[in-house]
Amino acid sequence: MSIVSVQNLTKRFGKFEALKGVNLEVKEGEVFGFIGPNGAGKSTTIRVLLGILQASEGAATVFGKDAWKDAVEIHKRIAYVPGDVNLWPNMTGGEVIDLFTRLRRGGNKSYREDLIQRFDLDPSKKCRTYSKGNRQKVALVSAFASEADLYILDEPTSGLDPLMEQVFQQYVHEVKAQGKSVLLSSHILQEVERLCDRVSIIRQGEVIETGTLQELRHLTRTSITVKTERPLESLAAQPGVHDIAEEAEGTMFSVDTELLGQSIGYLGQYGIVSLECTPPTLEQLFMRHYE
Amino acid sequence: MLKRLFSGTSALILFILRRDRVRIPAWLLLVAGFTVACVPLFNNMFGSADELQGMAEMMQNPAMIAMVGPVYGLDNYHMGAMYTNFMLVLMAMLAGAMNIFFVTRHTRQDEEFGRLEVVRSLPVGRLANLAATMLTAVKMNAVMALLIGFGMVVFGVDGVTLSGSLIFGAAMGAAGLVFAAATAVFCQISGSNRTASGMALFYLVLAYMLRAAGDVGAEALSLISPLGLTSRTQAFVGNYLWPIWVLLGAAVAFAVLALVFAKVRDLGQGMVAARPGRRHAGRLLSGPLGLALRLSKTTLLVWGFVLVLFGVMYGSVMDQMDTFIGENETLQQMFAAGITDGASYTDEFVALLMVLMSAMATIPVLGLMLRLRSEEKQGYLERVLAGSVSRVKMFGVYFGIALVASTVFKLISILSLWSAASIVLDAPPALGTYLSAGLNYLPAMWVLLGLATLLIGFFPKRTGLAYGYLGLSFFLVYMGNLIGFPDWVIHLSPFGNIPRLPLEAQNWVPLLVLAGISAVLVGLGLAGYRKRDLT
Ligand SMILES: Nc1ncnc2c1ncn2[C@@H]1O[C@H](COP(=O)(O)OP(=O)(O)OP(=O)(O)O)[C@@H](O)[C@H]1O
Ligand SMILES: [Mg+2]
Repeated sequence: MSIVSVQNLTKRFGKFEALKGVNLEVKEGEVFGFIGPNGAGKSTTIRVLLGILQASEGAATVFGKDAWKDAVEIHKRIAYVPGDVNLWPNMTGGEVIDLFTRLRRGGNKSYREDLIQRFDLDPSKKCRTYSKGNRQKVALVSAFASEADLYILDEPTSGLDPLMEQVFQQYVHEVKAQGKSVLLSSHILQEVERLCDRVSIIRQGEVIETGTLQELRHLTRTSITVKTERPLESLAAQPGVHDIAEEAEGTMFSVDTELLGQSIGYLGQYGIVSLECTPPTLEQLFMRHYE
Repeated sequence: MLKRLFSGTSALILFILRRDRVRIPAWLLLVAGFTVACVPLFNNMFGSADELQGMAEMMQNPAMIAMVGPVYGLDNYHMGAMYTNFMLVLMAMLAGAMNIFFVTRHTRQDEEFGRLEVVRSLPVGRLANLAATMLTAVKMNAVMALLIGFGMVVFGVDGVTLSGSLIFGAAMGAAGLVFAAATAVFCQISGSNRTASGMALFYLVLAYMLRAAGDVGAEALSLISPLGLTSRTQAFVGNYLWPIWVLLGAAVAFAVLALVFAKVRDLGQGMVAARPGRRHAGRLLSGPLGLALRLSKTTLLVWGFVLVLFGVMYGSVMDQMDTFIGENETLQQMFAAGITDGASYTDEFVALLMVLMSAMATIPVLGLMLRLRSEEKQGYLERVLAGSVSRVKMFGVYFGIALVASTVFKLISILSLWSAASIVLDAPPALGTYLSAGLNYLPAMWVLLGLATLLIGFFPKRTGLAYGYLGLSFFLVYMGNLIGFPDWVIHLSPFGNIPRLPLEAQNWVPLLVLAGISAVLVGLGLAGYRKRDLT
């Protein structure tokens, strides 16, 4: 069953078209990554899903309900963390967390204490005096204390230190283990690689790729460093082979991942001494799409 | 469907009350406390029949009517009638200001700073925050109305009846609600918090000006002004309820309009989408001065416009005074006798306008200077100061703009007053008189500017006090003489030390002293600002 479904979503601000027919689907129990360059339209999509912005065209549904019309119903089962958390300067973090819990009419008290401890947050400080990371933690604590069915996280870790980043990842694993879904937008590709089952890449308001990391990898190239007994003949003529370079460690080249098997077969003919095969990182994959 | 748009409203009301647990009582104490406390004060000063008769005559002076409102119940002019005459419009303005600040703070400001973003992701209706703000405003105004209604009668002052007090309080509360609801509308149509508060404050000033013109001549203008309507209750005299119903109706209409707008507009946007701006910085935007000017541009233009409007409006009723006096026997007598020795009505009026316009012009001057602080508070200044601009320079730039603006503002308001007066009056007044009468107030304005810099330097969290002192200073000179405060109290106001030019002789000593005081204040402020932490 799909938890989030976005079809042909278009959002215009005046004349400017921020989203041009975005399609997206988050299935139950999966962690879905949403990546793309600055200004691509990630936050805009998310805010349409939250019913904060109204779609100009197309449909956005969450739990099968209309994101704009049924916002209140939907929000009872959603937790949201924005990248830029702004809070009321003269309220304490604890007060804000309680307000959010109260507005949601639910949430787990003991869980809250546990979260505050694990995120190492001092809830008695005024929001004015929190550092950026600490403000972020206030939002994270109130989100994870909420027992939602869908977590919408828009760059939730921008500003967290590496230790807290780990705590965050543990919590994402935890909610996933409970069968809940997560929509995670992030610029930290390692985080996406580690957490996400499927990924969409958005650029200039259009989704340009969607799939599991495995599937996406197939769309790109694998780097190979090889030493052979006999010199490689006509390597450049092989299908899908690119960027050949002779280095001290051996011959380096990249190959279209779908033609990888064929290339290895070819190399085998020349007696492999050593072979190093690096799958593309998300970063490389990303770079290819960003350029 | 409708219910869902508002779900979560009650929790948000509690949150607003929690956030403003100090602010709301403080405002109520100020507004209601002041309104109530002035009753025995006035009674002490004008309680006797003679004094009341004197006041009754003075209140018919068109300048006074333009200032405070129309006179009712002349045949039996008791304390109640006089109190409404004198205070109702002014207190309703204060209530209006309270509501304007309250509504912008909880709607547009929260939205602009991104605080509503997470709130909106919770199971909270789209209109809940606006509704919570409006409902809290209703409660706040109701409490204020009751405090005043039951507070004013406790002194047992002659003519101050319970029904009159209740109507007085209700008129203030209802007018306050109109301003709250109108502000909510402005918050929906404007693109930013600053514009929204600007529009709302402009509406407040406009309402005052409309009723000034309406009360002196064209009655209809008073009936479309919430402030003018409050006078029409004739509290303590006629005790009419209809203006209160009209006000409440207007408040409901504004509130519905605000809710409709809020429903269709996206969070963080005005009704009109933001247009793309310049691709490159204009020539002006080339240094700290350029930046400060660019940021202050709107304030300068809008207030310049308001001051011109104000000058023209008052200038153009100058002749009405003559006809008014011509028709009124009592006034003719008074005019012949002269209120102050040898001074004419018009001179009185000009002197009064000069104070009024100087205090008005001081508002944006303080705003321009305090921008240094608001930029700091919002963290924008950090980036500028990190870029090799010294604090002294930043301070100097804002101070310079405020200083020049004070002079320019004064000049344009004097010129527009004079131009309009020359057109309507048969014998055009001397420009020199107007100029010196008005420019005389510059040193007083600079003292207030100096106070603002001092606060920036030493008490950055309390910069609002500058406006508070401005209000007090204005009140002391505008009303102090009438109420009969002792001289030393009036001298606490910088405006109170200025020679009132067409009426009094020029005296340079107080001007120089005030200028000196302001220089000291600025020096201290700068010293403090250089040393303290930026927060
Ligand atoms: N209120 C608005 N009015 C006009 N344009 C807007 C508005 N909000 C967003 N945009 C534009 O929509 C586009 C998408 O913005 P969005 O915030 O969704 O980007 P993003 O993918 O979240 O970027 P980032 O990675 O920087 O967070 C941008 O070009 C932005 O300028
Ligand atoms: Mg974003």
